[in-house]
Amino acid sequence: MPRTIGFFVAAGLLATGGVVSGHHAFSAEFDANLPIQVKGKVTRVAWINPHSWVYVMEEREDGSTQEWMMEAGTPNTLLRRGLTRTILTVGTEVQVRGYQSKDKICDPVCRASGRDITFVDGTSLFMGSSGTGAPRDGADPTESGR
Amino acid sequence: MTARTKNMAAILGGACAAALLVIPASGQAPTTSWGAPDLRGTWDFRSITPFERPESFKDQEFLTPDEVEAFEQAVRQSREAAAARTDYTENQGDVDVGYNSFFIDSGTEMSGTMRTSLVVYPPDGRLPAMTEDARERARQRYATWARPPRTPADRNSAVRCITGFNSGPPMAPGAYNNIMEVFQTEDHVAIMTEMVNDHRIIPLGDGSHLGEDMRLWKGDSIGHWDGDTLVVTTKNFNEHTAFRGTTEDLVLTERFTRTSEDGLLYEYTVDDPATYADRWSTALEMRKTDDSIFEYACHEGNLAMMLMLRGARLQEAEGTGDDQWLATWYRGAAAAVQDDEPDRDDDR
Repeated sequence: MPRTIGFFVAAGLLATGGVVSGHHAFSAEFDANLPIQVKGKVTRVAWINPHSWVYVMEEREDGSTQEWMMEAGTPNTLLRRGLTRTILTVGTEVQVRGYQSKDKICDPVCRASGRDITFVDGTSLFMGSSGTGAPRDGADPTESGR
Repeated sequence: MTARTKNMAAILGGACAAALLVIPASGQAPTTSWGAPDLRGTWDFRSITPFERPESFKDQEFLTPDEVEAFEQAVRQSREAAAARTDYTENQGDVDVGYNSFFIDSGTEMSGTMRTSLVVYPPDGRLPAMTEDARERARQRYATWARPPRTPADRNSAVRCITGFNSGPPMAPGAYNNIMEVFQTEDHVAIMTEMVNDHRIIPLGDGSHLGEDMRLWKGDSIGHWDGDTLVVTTKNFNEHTAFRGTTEDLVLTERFTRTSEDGLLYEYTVDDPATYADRWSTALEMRKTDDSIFEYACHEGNLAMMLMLRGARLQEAEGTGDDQWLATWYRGAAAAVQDDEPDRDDDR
């Protein structure tokens, strides 16, 4: 093989960079200057396109609560990977990091992007050592097709 | 022997000289009960093959199996590294990452074509230079997307759920929902993409295209058989579709060739002299899948548009603003059309 792995890593990064464009510019919807970190329990998951939304009731240190909607990806991908509504069931405790919407409106719920979703045991949602951690994420070479 | 292995054998056996890849041996591809090549089924067009040939592959048109494996491994490793990051800082790039990479479904394999790029013509695997007129149109487009939207019309057709960013025509691998189903009768072929649930019903034969004044978001498609290949010509686009910056005069030619039980070679050629100095073509092998096409219902759930417009109105009321409305993935192309370099970045 004439080229090194390092060479291909560089080329691979270039390739992945070319396909991340999605439905919309997140920076047109969310504000990079408004990072958020919300802890609370999942109250609902809306399995809608073009993006699913995870609802979390934030429990603040002063005892007050505030509900958030966190934008996530297309639900079709979740279904295709074998995940159903049994994941992220109501009551699941999570911590979400992301960015608040540019409109800053929190009536009745605040909205934000769901950059990272972490469970209370510290594991990140869907992040596995060899792939995303989903049942059919393509990391297993023995999987056939999709 | 898998479809990919067959392709490897064909290519490495000397088929590289063929302009557009693997032609099935006569009778190899399935046929319908009425004797036409059978394109029916659900097809997966995910691919991590770069759209244009990276500089690192400069003079290399095809990859060896070892090189494909190394490339795919590199992509997997780079994704895992990105997924494991916890030290991100607040900036637009992080906002544009959007959400957990679990939701991205752009595939883990290169196309079975074994090529270093999806672009197969021009021979260097790079798009031809854009005309100055096209560059000016691109400058205006990026300027619109870079400012707070006054109306939904200030965002692109994908944001507005009018067309999908990968649903075509032509179909092009994107971040997710890279799947389509083909239906077929003796005189029609229909294509349904999962993204935005876009569908095209394509009459076969020698019919004529719509009149010049009839302009459609997805154009007007007519197909015919060229041997075992379905050739679909699409004209009559509107000025807003602008696939990769093209005008309403784009003539798009797609070719669908069943290469095996599991393979469908999909090629398309973009011919729009008002935008590109030369025509250009791509090739991708789609793979058969048992998956179903799911409902998409994009417009009904498009809360993003509401949030963008409300954010814009808030900035307007406050007399504030920011320069982060244009997604980072457009910035390379936006910069390129400002200087003397041809626009070669990903821009749909």
